[in-house]
Amino acid sequence: MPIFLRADAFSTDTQHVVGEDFAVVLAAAQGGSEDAFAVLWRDANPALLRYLRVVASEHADDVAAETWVQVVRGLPRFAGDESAWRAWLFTTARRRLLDQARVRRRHPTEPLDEITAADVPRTVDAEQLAMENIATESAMALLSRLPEQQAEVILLRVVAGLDTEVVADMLGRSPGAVRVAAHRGLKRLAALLTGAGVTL
Amino acid sequence: MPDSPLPPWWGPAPFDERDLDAVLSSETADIPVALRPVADALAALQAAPMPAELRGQAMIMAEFRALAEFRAAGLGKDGRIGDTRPTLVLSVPREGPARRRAPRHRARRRAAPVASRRAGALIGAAATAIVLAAVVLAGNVSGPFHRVGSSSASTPSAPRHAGGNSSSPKVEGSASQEPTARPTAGGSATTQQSKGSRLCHAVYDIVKDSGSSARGKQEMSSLSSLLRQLSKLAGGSRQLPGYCAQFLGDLFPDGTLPHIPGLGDQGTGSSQAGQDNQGALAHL
Repeated sequence: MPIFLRADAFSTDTQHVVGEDFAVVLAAAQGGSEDAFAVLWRDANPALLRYLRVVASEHADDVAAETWVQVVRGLPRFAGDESAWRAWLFTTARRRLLDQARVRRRHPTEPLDEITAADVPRTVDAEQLAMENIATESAMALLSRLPEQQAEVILLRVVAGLDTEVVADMLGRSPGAVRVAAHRGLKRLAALLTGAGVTL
Repeated sequence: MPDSPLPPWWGPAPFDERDLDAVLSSETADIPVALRPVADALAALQAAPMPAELRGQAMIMAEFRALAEFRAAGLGKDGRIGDTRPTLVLSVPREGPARRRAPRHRARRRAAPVASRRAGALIGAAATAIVLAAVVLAGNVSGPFHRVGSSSASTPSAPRHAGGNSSSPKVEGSASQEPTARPTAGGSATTQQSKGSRLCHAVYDIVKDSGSSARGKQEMSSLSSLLRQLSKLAGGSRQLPGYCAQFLGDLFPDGTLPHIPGLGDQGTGSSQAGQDNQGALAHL
């Protein structure tokens, strides 16, 4: 049974949840509570990274870091529910992504060599975690094969949990166009999965 | 997938838009079989966070902590709740004495009347001439006068050039007047020396007679012109007294100095200076 981020059941490494208690957690974070902000961050950062790794694979971590810096600075001014919070977070990320793309076009750089998986010491637990994460990584790799707009719409609808109207507002398109793009993306996913015989 | 002799696209679609909306909304209970793999893929995207996705928490918490402390400091100062200023506000420097002055209108300088410039030049020339005359007549210039006084016979006197002065004073004594060559455009040293002597004498003539009020204005104009020429020869207006001293010494071949009422006997002349003062002055 899949585990959803917005459900009550969360991973075992945190005892805080966001959902009905979002308003309380938000108020505490705005008041300077580090624990409350940590809840917000742990709830939203995985989804943010997954979104960024599909639309900007090489610079996902940098964009995510810059996004959170902006969020921290603007946190006291934020007002809204959890849906508005996520919309604000992903809108900020998208803008940072566009800014970085603009900077990279002006100043192209070569990325440094990253630590490969072979260099990381492996343990039994790490192996198990890697197996569990295969499904997530595979799903992200699958979405990367879609056209950029279709993949982005699906990620914002599913991973970010945003409504069609909110996504349309972020992308500057009509809700109908967003819906059509999402459907086409899902059909293409179905064709890829069915034709390749891949099961997750 | 059921076996069928018909191609896949023959017949009703395996799923419709409502099914797709249900997958997007994670309502996967009644979705068609064809969409099950898609639903599973989307569910994997919403799985529990991976360790790598929680790695950057320390960095962002440090940023949050720093800003929270900053805001806490701001709360203490003005008591506002939720001070949202993440940056320092710099005060606008007031305009003070350090402010750069507005540039003066250059036109004012240019608009200075010509007459005032001429008046200033004449005043400067007159002051220089007075100083020159005072130095010469008071005997403050040593050296040349002493030499002239001791060897008066060998000192030639150049003919004077008096601008507009008809009465050229004569030099009494054994000094012979030798005509000087006209200054050429190239100007040898001797020529320049004679020209300098001529100009110095002319200046002296005007200064000597400057007490006459009837010719004051005209002579001031001539004096200004003469002093400009002398300044060029002497290498500056400040060099004039010393420059002309070498030429005006022939005026006093005996070492006598003219008597200036009020000044008394002049210093560096010979012992006979005081005796023939009046005579020398009359002849000059």
